[in-house]
Amino acid sequence: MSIDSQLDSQSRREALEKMFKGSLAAGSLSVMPTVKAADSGFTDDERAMLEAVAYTLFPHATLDKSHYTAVATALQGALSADAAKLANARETLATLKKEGFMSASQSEREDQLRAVEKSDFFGVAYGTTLNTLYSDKAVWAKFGYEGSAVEHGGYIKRGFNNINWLPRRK
Amino acid sequence: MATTFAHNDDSVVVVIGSGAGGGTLSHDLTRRGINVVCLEAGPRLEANTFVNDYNTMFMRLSWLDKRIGEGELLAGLPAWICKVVGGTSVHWNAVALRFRSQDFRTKTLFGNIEGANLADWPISYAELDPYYAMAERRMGVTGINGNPPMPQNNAGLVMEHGARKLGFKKIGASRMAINSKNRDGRPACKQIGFCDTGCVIGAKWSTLYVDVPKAEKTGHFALRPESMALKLNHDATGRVVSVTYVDKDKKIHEQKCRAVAVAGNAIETPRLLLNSASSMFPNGMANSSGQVGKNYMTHVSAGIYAFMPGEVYGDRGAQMNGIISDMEANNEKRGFVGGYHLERLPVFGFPWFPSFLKPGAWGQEYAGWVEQYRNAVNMWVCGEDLPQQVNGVTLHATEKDQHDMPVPVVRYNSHANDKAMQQHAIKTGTDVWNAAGAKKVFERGPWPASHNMGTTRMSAKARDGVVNKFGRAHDIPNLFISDGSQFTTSSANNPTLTIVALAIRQAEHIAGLMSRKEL
Repeated sequence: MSIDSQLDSQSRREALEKMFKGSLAAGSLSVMPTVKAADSGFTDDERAMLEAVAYTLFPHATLDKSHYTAVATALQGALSADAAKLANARETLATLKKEGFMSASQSEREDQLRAVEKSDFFGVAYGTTLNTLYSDKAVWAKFGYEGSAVEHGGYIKRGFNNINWLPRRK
Repeated sequence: MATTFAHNDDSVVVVIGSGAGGGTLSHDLTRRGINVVCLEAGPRLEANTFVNDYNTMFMRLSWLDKRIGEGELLAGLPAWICKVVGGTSVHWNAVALRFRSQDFRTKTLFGNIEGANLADWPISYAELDPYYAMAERRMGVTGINGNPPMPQNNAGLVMEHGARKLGFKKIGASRMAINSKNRDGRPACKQIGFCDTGCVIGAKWSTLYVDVPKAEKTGHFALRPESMALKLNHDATGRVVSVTYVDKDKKIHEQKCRAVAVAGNAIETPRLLLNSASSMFPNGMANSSGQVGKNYMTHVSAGIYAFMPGEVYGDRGAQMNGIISDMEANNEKRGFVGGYHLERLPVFGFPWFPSFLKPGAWGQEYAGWVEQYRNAVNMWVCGEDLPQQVNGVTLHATEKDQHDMPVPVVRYNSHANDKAMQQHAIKTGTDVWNAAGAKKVFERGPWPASHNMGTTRMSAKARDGVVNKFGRAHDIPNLFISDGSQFTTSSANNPTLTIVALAIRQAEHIAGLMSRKEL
């Protein structure tokens, strides 16, 4: 039996949370990308805002919009799993809407999000965006992370020491 | 057919843990014909089932039972070590450095330092030297014994370039316990990366596929995976007579024994001794000194990321080859005692890199750096950490784990000396990256410690520590400690080679005691 199958998704989430807590702002990694499907309770406006929040957190102009749509979907699932966080999310999104988040520039949006950085909603949004976006292998490829190497024979013949911009040693 | 021993067989040596200490000790006892039962808390995995994925292998390998971190440690994950056959030798990055002569005499050299509980080791470098040599030969350490040095990867070459521009001399490839040529039935390194998620091809030394199978071939070794030791039991004279453990089906067993060697890493080892308190030993086994669970050391550490002007691909190749050792020697003009190495680290790819680079950061500027992954490099500070009585492992008063064993509380705060060293090291590391042309440097605090030392330390006198120069408990003649817990001080050098050398020496000592009927 594989060890993975001995760990239910809850304990996997908790363990990874432990690992990342040291690296992240407190409470930020509330959800791993294994969240359930989106709850249909979100309005179109709210869904669009979640996507915009995800983009504001980690904006990569070179990535297709669909990556952020995927984050928004994961985020809806994560928020739907916790009534208190869902309520806080709705409240926070309403505030952001009033402040004109959707028509604001990236730097204005960052200021608006910084003002709610301590909220439960922000914690879920940050953790979910980080983990959904950067667990996506298409994103890895875009930024040059090569992932598993053993099946390609490692890098011994594939450039582990092929650096070409260092000055030559005399 | 696998060797088995009966639970009431009191002629066996019980070794608790199968990592660098326990695995090596088991191998060296069994090859001398001594029967060993090894209790390993974790499951037995095969290296060829490992995958090159940080999250997946973190989940498969790590010790994730409940622990409580206090002080500067992560509350939920104070240490990053393994719960599998092979222990943390599955995860280690194979930097195989000897301690230096002065590392064994820090009390003499540094004197009394307020807040620190320094002591000299009861063993000298000269005494350990031949065992270092044996450990290096066995582990295939590179750069000696005809094993070619490990070639450096791109990131190592960048680090070396920066170091050379600053005039550093002790730079270049590190001594690695990774095969740089085919040897000992294992292949040469293919520069895969992912050393710390478990070497899939077995090029990196680990007791999982080196010492454990060799012990099994002797016919004197019974490995019991998924067997968590709960308590040591003693007789009226105070000698250990058996070990209580729980198996994977939650069945409790008692294994009788002639002697016990505990090698559960520096958190579990003192935890087991403390949990074995009795009316005869109210403060735990082997604890007349009160030093069990004290003096916990992790190494002064920090991470220093940087972005270079060109592509590096810092996750390609062996993860921790590349070192700068000019700062290792003691120089009190720097404002602290002891010294440190700068060792290269992988970038840790995705999904980890964006959260490791600058914990909690987000926004346009930060995302821009994340996009520069190809140009990222990383290094680690490994410095001498002073022992302090206030840092250590205790049992939680009420919280229990899944086996009804009290949860360990692990406390660590840096000494002022550690903090001064850390700042100095971060400055030096930053200078190295800048000298190599860095566009941007990110400093970050330590990762959860994989180096854990000092919690049942060696001492010449019984009142100053827990074990003698052979790792034998001062209080209990048939109890031994065989992991980094026995370290009196930490040195600036990665601990594993010293753990292995001590275990080889301890096995010889135990065999001698037995043949002389002294054990």
